Amino acid sequence: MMNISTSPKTATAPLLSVRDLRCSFKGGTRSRLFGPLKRIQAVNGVSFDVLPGEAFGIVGESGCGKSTTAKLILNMANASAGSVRLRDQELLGLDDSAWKPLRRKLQYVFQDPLGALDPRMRVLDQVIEPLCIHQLHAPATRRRLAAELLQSVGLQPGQHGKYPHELSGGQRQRVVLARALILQPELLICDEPISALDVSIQAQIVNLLQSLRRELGLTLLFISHDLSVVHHLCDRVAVMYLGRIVETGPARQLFSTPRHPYTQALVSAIPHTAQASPHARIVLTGEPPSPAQPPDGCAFHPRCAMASDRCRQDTPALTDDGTGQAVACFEARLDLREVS
Amino acid sequence: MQALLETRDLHVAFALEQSRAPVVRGVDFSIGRGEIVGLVGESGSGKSVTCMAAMGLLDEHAHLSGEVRWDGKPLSVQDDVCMSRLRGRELAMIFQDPMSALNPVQTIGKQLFEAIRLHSADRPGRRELAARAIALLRDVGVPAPEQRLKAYPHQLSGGLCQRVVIAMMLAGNPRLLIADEPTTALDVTVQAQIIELLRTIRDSRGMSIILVTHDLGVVAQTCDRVLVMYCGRVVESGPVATVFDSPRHPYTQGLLASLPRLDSQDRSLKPIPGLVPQPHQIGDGCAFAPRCPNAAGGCYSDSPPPQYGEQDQLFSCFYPISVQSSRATR
Repeated sequence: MMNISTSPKTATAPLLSVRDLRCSFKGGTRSRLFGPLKRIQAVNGVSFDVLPGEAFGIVGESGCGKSTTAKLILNMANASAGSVRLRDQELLGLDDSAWKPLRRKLQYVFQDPLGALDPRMRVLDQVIEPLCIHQLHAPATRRRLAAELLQSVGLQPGQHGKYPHELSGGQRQRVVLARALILQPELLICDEPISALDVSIQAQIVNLLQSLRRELGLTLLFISHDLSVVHHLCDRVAVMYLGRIVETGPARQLFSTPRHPYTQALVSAIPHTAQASPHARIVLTGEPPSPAQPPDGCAFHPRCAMASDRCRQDTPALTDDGTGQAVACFEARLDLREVS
Repeated sequence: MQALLETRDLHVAFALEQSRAPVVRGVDFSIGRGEIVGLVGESGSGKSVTCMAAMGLLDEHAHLSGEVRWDGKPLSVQDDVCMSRLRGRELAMIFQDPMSALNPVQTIGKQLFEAIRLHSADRPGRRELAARAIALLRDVGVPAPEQRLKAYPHQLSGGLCQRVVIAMMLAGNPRLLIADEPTTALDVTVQAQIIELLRTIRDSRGMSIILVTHDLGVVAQTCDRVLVMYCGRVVESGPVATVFDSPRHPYTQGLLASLPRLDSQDRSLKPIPGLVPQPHQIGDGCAFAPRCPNAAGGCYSDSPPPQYGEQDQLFSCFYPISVQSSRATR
């Protein structure tokens, strides 16, 4: 089945281990009125490991299944097959009561901070709330811990008594981060945490995440469509296309020598402010296909310049090329053999 | 070169209950024929309002002053009759979300026919309309245009819808296109396609394009000139290569330094401290002073006038970054 290529060659046991994760929804357009709904394969055999203390990034365009993967890990959507393990504990199939203590270890931050906060609650109280739910510490200690944490994510004491609508987007995202971190989670899952923010504020939050990682030894699963941010923040990256991981590897290596034609196009499509772009521009034809009607063979072949007959029939498996980078492409491997 | 569209000392303020919120505070800019000018800035910088003002799309709550000139003549942007004669034919606008620009209960064909009929002097018949619509869709790179005419917007992807909107805009063959965040709602690979399309349209039709965006990378790859706006003013402008290579205004430099880059390995991001002020918080001085590393006493009381740097670079700052140190940090 899936090989272990998605984990780096180290002896460290992974904190989070995802194996052959699958999820399908009923949805899409019916062929006729009252006709049956199609099945959409949103996540189609995803495997990866997140090591303790590292930042693992998942990138891809909308509809590639990156957010669904996060939701499956957090039990916010139902997986149809596969396994998700936190250290030695299997997470899939657990009931709500078994999940409650686990929520302390797994916290998450989503894109829209206003949607994540209670509009009628002062921000300090919102950061205290998780401690109350998990019955940790005495009330006075809770207050002190929350205030300290808010301050360390960059919110001055004068702002602790405010309501979410009185804060800016960046400040709200800081509150959401503080609320996720107050439980000292082992893994923080961030799904597009900075996409709704202005450029200069994005950099503030990215720097905050970096310093939190250093200080707290936080493990991060960072999901984004923004390759430059993922490159900046993450140690290892997986690129998803239509429910599958098509390429994975150390962030710098993957972005400087992308092997999959999709990753190559994605990297070259990032608009640069520098005059000389390090990669020749590849403009793909067509758009990502709908997961309701995935093409046969490799999902990328209709847009791929290198597609061969084999690509139209068989789905390539993710295979390690020996450098820590793994690619799911028939043609990329041929390419590599010629190079080496 | 005579400017196609020009604004002089444009001010826009929105009426609040007690006061007015100044959103655009004295914008001078011009765009020549066949030029692509980028208008960048963070949310609330007034870039969209400047464009809406030029299109005459602001309602009675907006107080306008200053001058807008079209093709050398003053343009009365608040005169609806005059503006509706120009809109679509002379200057057109496309927006961020193509889905809301299209009518969800009409086919693509019907909407395109309407645009074509509105802008043609003769009265084209059904067959002629269909032929022109298909030609337009082909121009903007919609695959299988014959079949798309019968499709509804929800059956097309975001990128295709944006192409259809661009085709409708082309039906009027305007001389100036204002594109307000046209690729923000799209994926990166599709964004690259739309940017390519806009450049092709400029090259083949000689159309001038104002590209409003918050994405400096998009500007670098698309535009000839760039205007950087902050709190309702243009703080720096000039040729894209010059401004991005050696920004003179601390705000421009701050924006560039806060972007992560693929070509640099160990560079830590240097975010601009603080927050963008609200319109009512802006005093007399430079609006950027509270966040500026170079700010001194005068910055808080006086507003810096624009001054010229190298190669038509224009910046409004009392303590600009020198060319040498600006290049060195890039």
